[in-house]
Amino acid sequence: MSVKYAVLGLLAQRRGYGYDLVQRFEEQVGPAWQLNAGAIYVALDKLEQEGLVRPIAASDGETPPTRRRTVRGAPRVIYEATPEGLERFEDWMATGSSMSPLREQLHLKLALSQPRNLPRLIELTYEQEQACFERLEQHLGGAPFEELLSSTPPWSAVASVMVRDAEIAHLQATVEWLRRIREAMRWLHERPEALRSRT
Amino acid sequence: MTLLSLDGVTKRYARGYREVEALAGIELDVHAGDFVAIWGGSRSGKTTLLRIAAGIEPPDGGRVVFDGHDLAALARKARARLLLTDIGCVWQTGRITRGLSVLDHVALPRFKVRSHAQARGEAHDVLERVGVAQCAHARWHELSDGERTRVALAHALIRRPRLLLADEPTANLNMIEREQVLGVLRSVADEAGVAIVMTAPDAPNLLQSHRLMSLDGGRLIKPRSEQRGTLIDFPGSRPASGRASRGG
Repeated sequence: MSVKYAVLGLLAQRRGYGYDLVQRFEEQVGPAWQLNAGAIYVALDKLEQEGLVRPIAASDGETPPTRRRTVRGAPRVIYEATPEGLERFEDWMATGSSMSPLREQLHLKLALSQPRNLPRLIELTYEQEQACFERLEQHLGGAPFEELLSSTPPWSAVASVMVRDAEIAHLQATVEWLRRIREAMRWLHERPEALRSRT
Repeated sequence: MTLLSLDGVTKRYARGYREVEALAGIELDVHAGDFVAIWGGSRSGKTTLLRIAAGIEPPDGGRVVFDGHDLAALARKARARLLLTDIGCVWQTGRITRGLSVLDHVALPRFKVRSHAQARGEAHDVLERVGVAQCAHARWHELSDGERTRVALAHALIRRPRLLLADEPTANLNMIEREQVLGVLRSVADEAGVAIVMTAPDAPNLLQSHRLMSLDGGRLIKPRSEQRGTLIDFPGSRPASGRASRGG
């Protein structure tokens, strides 16, 4: 599972506790992933079971990090990657990346629709386009991709802009697709005779 | 303060035997300092929308109100004056004044309020800001498409309009030029409080704006945060409307 390796990677960068990892994930990967905090904790547990990360033992003398408390008073556990963990992370970086299948509810509705659904499907394309906009709004004012070429930001900033640009590109392609199928469906909707000959 | 308000604006064109709905009930309020980006492909109606907002073309229905004045109620001369003072436009088909260099063309609106040297100095600054200072002494036919757009932008900005309407100001630009132009637009909105309505054909060009919307088939699609009524009422989209077509 990718989240597991992302958490391992975050701990390879520097040690951290659960909520800190949630925030760093959001910061570096961006809003597109829409990961809930629970998934990070699940990944941490799994990594610990596999011996890839370990909680840092409290050392006497200084303020031990493990004795700091969370909001609810539970002890806050700080994790670090083990040597095996670091090695496993490097292996993961070196392997190829699989592509997730494209699974959208709208695709299923389209596939299983009837000509009488046309008006509603057309409206759905508007709703979907609006949803794309709301996601794009989260990127408003962000560092544009172009800035990378004209300045010399740290690599982490470059990487995060490139990841965000992936979502922007995906949303743009989706909107263009929605406009294309909407035009086709409107054309068919206005010419019932063209539809009848196809059913 | 609402500077520009489009209220139920409609426009129809005849295309061959068919009537095409170029704009279908556009509702849009633009305030001073707003930077609105409209995402629309070709034939989406975006140029028509800007022309109507500028008062160059009258809408078939609805109202365009600029700074409290209904544009339709203004005399032609008053509308033309607005285009010289308060409303700046950047069109894709812009030209520069025949026989003038780029610098003089851009300086022209300032010649009557400043000395020629001062006006040229201002023009040079604006050209530099939009990244085409090197074209100052060129003639129109020597400019690339991207340079022409930026000269048109400089020409619009030098008059310090309160509303700037820009039709694809980032067309034909490379990445760095594009960022420079968007940066200028954003700072003009943020610092000088100019209201901007810009169109662009793709998403990366839109993200330096404050507000994002989309125009397709003459309908403006806004994020829910801006929604006044229902999104789009496509005829017959709801089973209860009784107009659902029975196909098959």
